[in-house]
Parts: sequence; structure tokens; C-alpha cells
Amino acid sequence: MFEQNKLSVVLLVLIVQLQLILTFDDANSGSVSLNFEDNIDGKFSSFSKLNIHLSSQTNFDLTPSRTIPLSQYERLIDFKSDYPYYTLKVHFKRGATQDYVMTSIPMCLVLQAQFQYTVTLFVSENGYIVGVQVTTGNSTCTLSNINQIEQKTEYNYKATMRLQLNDAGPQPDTQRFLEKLKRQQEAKINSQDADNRPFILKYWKYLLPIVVIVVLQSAFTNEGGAPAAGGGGGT
Amino acid sequence: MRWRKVFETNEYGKIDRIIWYDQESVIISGQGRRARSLRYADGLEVWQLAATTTNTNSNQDTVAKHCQVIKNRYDPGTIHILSDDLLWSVSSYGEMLWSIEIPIKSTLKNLFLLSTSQYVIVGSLDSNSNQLQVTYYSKQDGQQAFSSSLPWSFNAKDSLNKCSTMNNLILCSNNDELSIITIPTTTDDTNVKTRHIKASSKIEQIRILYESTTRSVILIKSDNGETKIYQFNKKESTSEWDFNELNIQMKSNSFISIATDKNLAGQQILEASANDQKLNFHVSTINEQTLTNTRSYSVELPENMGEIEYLAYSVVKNTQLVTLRMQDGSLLVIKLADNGAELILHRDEALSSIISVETFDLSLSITQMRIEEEFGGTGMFSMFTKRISSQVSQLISFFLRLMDLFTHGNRNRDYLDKQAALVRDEFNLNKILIVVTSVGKVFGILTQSGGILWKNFFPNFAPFEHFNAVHVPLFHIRSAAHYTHEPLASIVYRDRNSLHDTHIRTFNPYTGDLENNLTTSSLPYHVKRVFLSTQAVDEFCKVLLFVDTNNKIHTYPPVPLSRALSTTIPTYIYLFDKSEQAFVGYYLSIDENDQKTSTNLKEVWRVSFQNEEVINIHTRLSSDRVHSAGIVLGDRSVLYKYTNPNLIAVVTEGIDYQKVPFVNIYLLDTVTGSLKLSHTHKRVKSPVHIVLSENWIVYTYYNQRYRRYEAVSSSLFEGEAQYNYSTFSSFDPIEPVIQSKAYILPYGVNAIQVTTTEKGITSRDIIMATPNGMLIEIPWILFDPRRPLDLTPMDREEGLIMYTPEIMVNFESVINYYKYVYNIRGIHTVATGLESTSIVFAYGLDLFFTRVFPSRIFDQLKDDFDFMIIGWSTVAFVVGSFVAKRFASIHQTKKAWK
Repeated sequence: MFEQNKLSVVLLVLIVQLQLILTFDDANSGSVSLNFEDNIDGKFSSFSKLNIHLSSQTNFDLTPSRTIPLSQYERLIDFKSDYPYYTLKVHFKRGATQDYVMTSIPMCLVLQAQFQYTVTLFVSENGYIVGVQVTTGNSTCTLSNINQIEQKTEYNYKATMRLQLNDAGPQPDTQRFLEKLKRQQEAKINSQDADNRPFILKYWKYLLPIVVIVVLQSAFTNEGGAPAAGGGGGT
Repeated sequence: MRWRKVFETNEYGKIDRIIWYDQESVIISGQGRRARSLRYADGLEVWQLAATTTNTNSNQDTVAKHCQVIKNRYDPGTIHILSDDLLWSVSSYGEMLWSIEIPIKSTLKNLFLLSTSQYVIVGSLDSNSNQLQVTYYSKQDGQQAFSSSLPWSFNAKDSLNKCSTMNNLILCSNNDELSIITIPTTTDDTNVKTRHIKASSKIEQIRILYESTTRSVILIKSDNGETKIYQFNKKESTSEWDFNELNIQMKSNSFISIATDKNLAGQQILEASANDQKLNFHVSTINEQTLTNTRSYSVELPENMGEIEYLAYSVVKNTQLVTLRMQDGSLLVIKLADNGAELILHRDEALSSIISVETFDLSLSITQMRIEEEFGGTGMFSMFTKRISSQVSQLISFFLRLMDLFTHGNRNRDYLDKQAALVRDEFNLNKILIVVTSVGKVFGILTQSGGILWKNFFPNFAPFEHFNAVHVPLFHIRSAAHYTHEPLASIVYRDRNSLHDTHIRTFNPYTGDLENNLTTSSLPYHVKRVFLSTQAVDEFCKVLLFVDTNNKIHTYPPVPLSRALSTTIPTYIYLFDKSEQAFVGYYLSIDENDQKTSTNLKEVWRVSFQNEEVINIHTRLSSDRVHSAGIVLGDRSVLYKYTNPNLIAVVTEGIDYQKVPFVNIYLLDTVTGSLKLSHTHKRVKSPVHIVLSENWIVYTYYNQRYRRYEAVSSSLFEGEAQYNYSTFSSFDPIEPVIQSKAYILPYGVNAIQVTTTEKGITSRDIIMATPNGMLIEIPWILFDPRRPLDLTPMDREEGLIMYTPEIMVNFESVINYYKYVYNIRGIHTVATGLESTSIVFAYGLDLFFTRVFPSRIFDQLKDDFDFMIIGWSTVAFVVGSFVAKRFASIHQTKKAWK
């Protein structure tokens, strides 16, 4: 008996292990390597690389591989180009598929936030990156204000990354609705059962007219001079 | 019209062939899987048969199926159908005679179907050995009798495109040569004979004009325009045929049809050709090798209809009738008589293929224009004189009209009525609809009567492809608001013959007259996308902006970009790259002093879909107005709407790693390339119909798991506080809060749209077209994603309705009553001058137009409003007050004397 139990436990463990391997395998294929590039020098250059596993964690901090020296920062403030945008390009590789997504926000927003921003990556059903968004917490800025911000010798990227997976679309909530209907019905039945008032109190609405009719009838027969109680019984 | 029968919208409704009998016709549809019979007298479907097939997977086959239908010439009541690997026979009175499945081999493709008095013959191509395997099946029970094979030089595709069958002949064209292959009809004769006819150049088309057991006539058309007609006669007691050329001179664009009638001596051949607005016919009798008794007819057409697309000539009770389908979709029936040809029927069938709709306001009347002018002055004196002069002119015109009425009476009544129909009414309820059809015909339709005001046909028209549909950009170049100038509309389309060439046609929507200055056929670039400028340039005209294949933006007519687009607000444009399944956003900044008429676009964002296919996108209506920025809740706090005008809805389809099909719906911000909503629905089937308006989206799809249609409604909210109350920017760091609910729909959906009103104050209704022909108006409140399951007093205060999973449709909300409209493809809604009223125009196979009142008629008096009571009671009150005043004064005087 004990032996048998042991065997089944071993089998179970094996199955669990197999499943773990399978899920691990799945997770392996769910691994995505990311490469972040931006265009602060007018051309795209990488500033951070990251490997992530989907379905394990949704918030990450990017570790920058370079900083922005003050001279460059000041140059950016004086940027008089016709392209005043900070563009973030995210290359991703998942399995054999390789592609990139991109977004842009006004350069001065990034300068104002001193390269501190949040990157949101939109991840599709199959684990591919669909889009990217950058937010700094502001939507307007003026370059003149930036000059008044404290000066540093160099500026560090302080970017946090968030993964946003597709939501499962809503389903018609028939289950809860039916439960609710059932509850209501039960409540109705219960309320009927709980009605243990005396018979007279419950049905006085129906009894009263009968009583009235009887009383009136007897009153009329009384007027006729016939014996009140015996009149009906006698005939 | 006597009767009409609308077939299914799916593949079973696609007609493969119609076989005509005396009283009824047998229609084979659904790639040879359905047969049904319709009676001519009343349109009754007498019988319907479905092919019995065990192979259920074949429906999902992506390989284009091939179907052949023939009527057995030796036994006209029997029809043989070959649908891929299924061979079946039906009789004209609705009996399935037999049905067999031919064994499938991947290398064997069934191509030809022939019939004799004893056998049904299937020719299948064996691509391994390049042989045509000919199998004989018994006509009585479908038993395989025997088979033989012959060498075959064509591949499967060529065999389908270049070959035709006729009796026991297979005719194949090979460059300038026509091969006639005789298939033996009995077991003792196994001789396959091949003969050839030489043409002067490459053969384009072989058409069988007439076919009987002993005689046949075919037409061979070469690519140099030469057309030859051959007559085939069967040799006595063999299965072989003799042929000879008929001596007939034909024009290159002419069509031929042959009619046989018992009363006729021999056969008549009709040659028809279209020439501008004229149709020419030549009718002759076929004799041995020549044509005799040639008579010519010609008929003037009311408008240009392009070339002939289909021709049928028939003689019914000694009346010669010609039925034609023209290139513009017109159906014509012409009667040929001794005194000439006469057009007896003309129907614009093109109206059932509408792809773009726009509405224009009607023009102001002269008096309305004067009123507009009256307030146009600047100085006090000029305003005064203007006012006086306009009022004097109004008085004069009033007297003139009175004079006209007395002297001429109602003589010009018709003309005046027609003019009045083109003048804007008091509430701007009547409009003119401009519809563009997929064949290239543009119509101007008056909404009050549904009458066609004008039509224009553009012969070299081809629409643009737009995801899985076709589309023609149609723009308001100049709206009707500028009463001093005529309004203008533009359409942009591709050339039918060279798809890279783009045509622009600008016309006056009231008359259809082309504006030649703004009409061109030669743009020096290949157009990828076209849109309208945000600013009017010259004489209130907007310009068209084109993005070419090199991502360069151009204006037409060429004006500096700085005048066409705003220089203060940057312009963002998105394009879709089909090969990479990616949306790419571009940015365009324009310097105020820049005089360039074209410039390059700069890429700013990119959204890519891997393993998903974008099947449709949906933008909000340009007329969408948001009246209130928030919703007042039950506790008097405000929930602010997230009304991002830059959102588009994107629908994608794909299969996930568990091999489950899914549909994704995204809301994409076209300025930053970020996604504001992403919903995945598993085991769901397209088509997905979307309505995007204000801060909400409603979409419908088919749920394969529960086999029902569902709708999902989502609203986006900023929350209890508003980030910026005056302007919206896509760069605002707002994370919209999404509320969603799903509902079960009682019917399927063909199209949905939301009502539009002038200011957006009126509540919204969803107009839904169903496959059973109804147009249903459903209040958006029923789709509200905030409908709670348990209704609290607070929710009740707010006016929310309790959540029920199913949307109940009241039959009162069917806006077309019993006038059912079928196969609706789109619904167009427009605002009117009355805030309560929205105009609805549904188009598809049928057209339907009506007005709807989503919040009832709150700004109009009811039709049964009693003006008499109000009038008399006002009079009574006035009189009463005078009487009371008199009495009061008498009373006062008396009191004073006391």
C-alpha cells in the first residue's frame, strides 16, 4: 500500500516536473531582448539593453549605458532644429522575429524632466511588442524655464519601464446576472414562506368584502321581519 | 418590379450559373453546392437542394474552388454539377438524381465536365504525368463506367482560364491557335481527335454563343480586336464535328448574341456595339455560311453608359428583345421593331454598389441670401442703407410675385416646385446626397424625394483598396456655407488600366458639372494616401494633400503648404504598411514663410503587429461633437470623459500559440503611437463593426464559442479631475480609466453607426443594420458600460439602467418598419439644423433614408399641436384681462364712494 502511494507520488512529481519543464520552455520562448535607442545626437544610438521574461514581472528599471554631459544637455536646450522631438526606438527580438517600435515626445519635455521618464511597452497576445509610449508627467514646457533648473555636470537616464499586456475583452456577464435573478427569486420565495401572520391578518382584504356582504344581507333580511339567524337555515 | 429574391450574403449566395427553363430557372450557387429553382411568375422558390458532402473540411480550404455546371443537351431536364471533387446531378423538378465523390488525389484536379446521352464525363488533369484523365460515369446512377487518358500540355490554371467545353468538345486557346479536342462518347470509339484553328494573333477569349446536340456557334476574339465566328455541325452518327467560319464583319468592341425560336426560320444573330451615347444593333439570319436579311437599328441612350458588359438577345412571341448590362451598371432592355429600336427599361443598378457617401446642404434662396447680406456692412451708415435697400427689394419682389400669380396663375408651377426643392428649408432638413459607386458612377440624390438629380459616369474608374474593402475618397472642397460661391466636391480614384495613375474630379454637387480647373488626370507621383487640408486657401476652397510612395507630401492644386495646413499646430499623419503590418506616424512642421508645395515627412512613431493581421481601421466621424466634458454622477461629483480626438480603432486578427483564433481591438493615438485600449477576444470571428464617438467605442463581433453576436462597449474617463479643461494634448500624461461591458445582441450585424447632431447635446443612438433587413435604433444608454448589476439609489439618480446581458430590441425601434432593406454595407448619419434631428442614410443592396430623434422632439411642436386652442385662449385671456380691469376700476370707484 505504502509502496503504491510512493509510486504515485513519484509519478506525480514526474508529471509536475514535466509540466515545469514545459512551462519553463514556454517562458523561454517568452523571453524578449530589448534594445533602447534615442536620437539626442540627431542620430539613433543605444543607451540601454534588457532581457525580459514575459508574465513574470511588469515593472523594470532601465540601466543606462551612457550619460548625457552638461555640454550636450545645453546644446540640446539651444536646439534650433526643425525636429524638436525626442524619439525613443525600441528594438525587440523574440525567437526569430525582430522588429522595432518607436514613439516621440517634444524634446523639451524630456529636458525639463532631466531624462527621467516612464516607458510603457504594449505587449500583444503572442508576446510581441506592439507599441511604446513615453510619459514624463508634464505636457507643456518652455525652454526658458529649463535654464533655471539646477545645473549638473552630467545627466543620468532615470527611466522605468512598464509592460502592459492586452486585456481580455469583456464577456457578457450572464453568470452573475442569472445568480442575481436566482437570488431575487429565492428572496421572493423566502419572503412568502416567512409570512406566518395569522390567517385573518393575511387575507383580511378578501375576507372583509364577504363579511360586509353577509352583514348587509342579514341587515336587509332583518328589515323584512324574518328571523335573522334562522332565515337562511330554515329554507 | 414584380418580385425579387435576395440570396444569402455568404458563399451560398454567389451564383455560379443559371439554367433557364420555360416556367422556371435553376440556379446553382455556393461553388456548386446549392441548387434551387425559382418560378418566373411569382418568384417562388420551388425547391432547393444542398449537395451531400462528407468532406466538411473543404469549406475552410483556402484553395479557390472550381465549379462547373452543365445542362445535359440530350436530356434537358438534367443538370450535372462538378464542384471540386463532388459530382452530382439534379433534375429540373427538384430531385437529386445521384451524387458521388470522386476520390481526391493531390496531383489530380477535376477540370472539365461534359455530357452525352449516356455518360457524364469528367476530365481531370494529372499534373504528375501531364495527362488528362477522362472518366465516364453513367448518366443514370453515377456509376463509374470506364476511363481513358490523353496527353495534355496545359497546367491547371491555364486549362481553367483558356479552355471551354461544348458538347463533347474541349476548346483551348494556345497563343494564336485554337485546339479542338473531341472526346469520344462511346466505349467502342476511343479515338481522341485534335484539330486546330489559326487566328491572326493571340486569342483572348473563346465564347460559346449557342449550343445544341447537333449545332454550336462559338466566337473567338484575338487581342488585335479581330473577332471570328465559327459554326459547328455534328457529323451524322459519329461523335465528330465539322466546323466552318461564318462570314461576318465585326467591330472590335461589339458583342454578339444568338436567339433561336421555334417560329423563326433558322437562327438570328445580333451584333451590338456602343458608341458614345448610342447603341447600334445589326440583326441577321444565319444561313449555311453567310448571313442574310441584315437589319440595322440604333438607339440613343439618355446618358453615357460606357461599354457593353453583357448582352442577351431573345425573341419572345415575335418580339425581339435585347437585354444589356452596361459598364456603369445600368440594366437596359431594348425592343427591336420594324419602326426602329426603343428603350423600354433603364435601371441604375449601380446604386446597389455605393462605396462613398457625402451630404451637402442645399443652397440658400435669394431671399435668404439677401438676409445674409443685410447684416454684412461695417459702418453705421452702410449698415443702415443696406438694411433699407434689402427690405425695399424684399417688398418689390413680394409685389412682383403677387403680380405674377395674378397674371400667369399656376403656369410655371412645375418649374418653381423643382427650383424650390433645391432650396434649403427652414431647418436644413433636406440635403443632397453625393454617392460614389464601385463602377464609377456618381449620383446626386435629393433626400426629400429620393429622386436622382444628376449622374456622372467616369469610364476609367477604379477604387482604392482600403484594408479588406474598396474605398473612394470624397471630399467637401468648398461647403455650401459660402453662398456667394458654388459648393464643390472632389473624388479621387485610380485608373482602371494603370492602377498607379490617379484621377481627381471636382464637381458642383448641385448639378454634377465638372470644375475643369480642379480636375486632373496627371499627378506626377504615385499616391499612397489623400486627405483634405485643414484650412481654406483661395475662394474658400480647401486643397487636397497627397502622400506619395516616397513619403513626400504634395498639395493639389499646388499651393504653399503653409497656407494649406496650420503652422501653429503641428500636423501628424499616419500610414499603414501592409507588408510589415505596421502603422507609422509622421510629423510635418511648416514654417510660416515657407513657400514649398511639397515636403518630406519625418517618422515619429511606429506600431507593429507581429503574427496579427490588421483587417480594418475605424476613425471617428469628422462631424463628431462633444457637448459636455463630463458626466454628473449621483452624488453631484463629475466624472470627466477622456475625449482624445486623435484616436483611431484598429482591428487585428490572428491565431495564438494554442492555435486559438482571436480578434484584437486597439485604440491607437495617432500623435504618439501609444495604445489607449487593447482588448483580446478569443474564439471570435470578424467582421468587427465599430462605432467610435466622444469618449466611447462600441464594437460587435461573432462569438464562435456561443454562436451568437455580441457587442462590447467601452468608455474612457480621465477620472474625478480633469488634467486640462481648455485644450487636449496627446502628450498629456493621462492614463485613461476604461470601463467595459459586453452585451448579447439579438440579431446579427451588417453595419452600425451612431447618430450625429449639430451640437452633440442630444443623446446618442446606435443605428444597426441586421441581416434580416431591419434597421434598429438602439439608445446608447443600453450599451453604457457603466450599467450596474445592482442598482443603487445613486445610480438611479444618475439615470443608469440595470445591467442585463442581453440588449432587448423593441420592435418599435425598427426605423424602417416593414420596408426591409438587405445587405446593408454602410450607414451615413448627418446633423440637421434642428438639434433634435439626425439624418440616417443606409446603403447596400437597398437604400433607405429617414430622420431620427434620439431624444424625442424637444425643439419642435408636435404635428397635432392645437394652434387654435392656444390662439383662442390667448385672445380670451387678453379680453378677460381687459374686462377684469374694467370691473376692477368700477369696483375701485365704488369703494372710494363708500
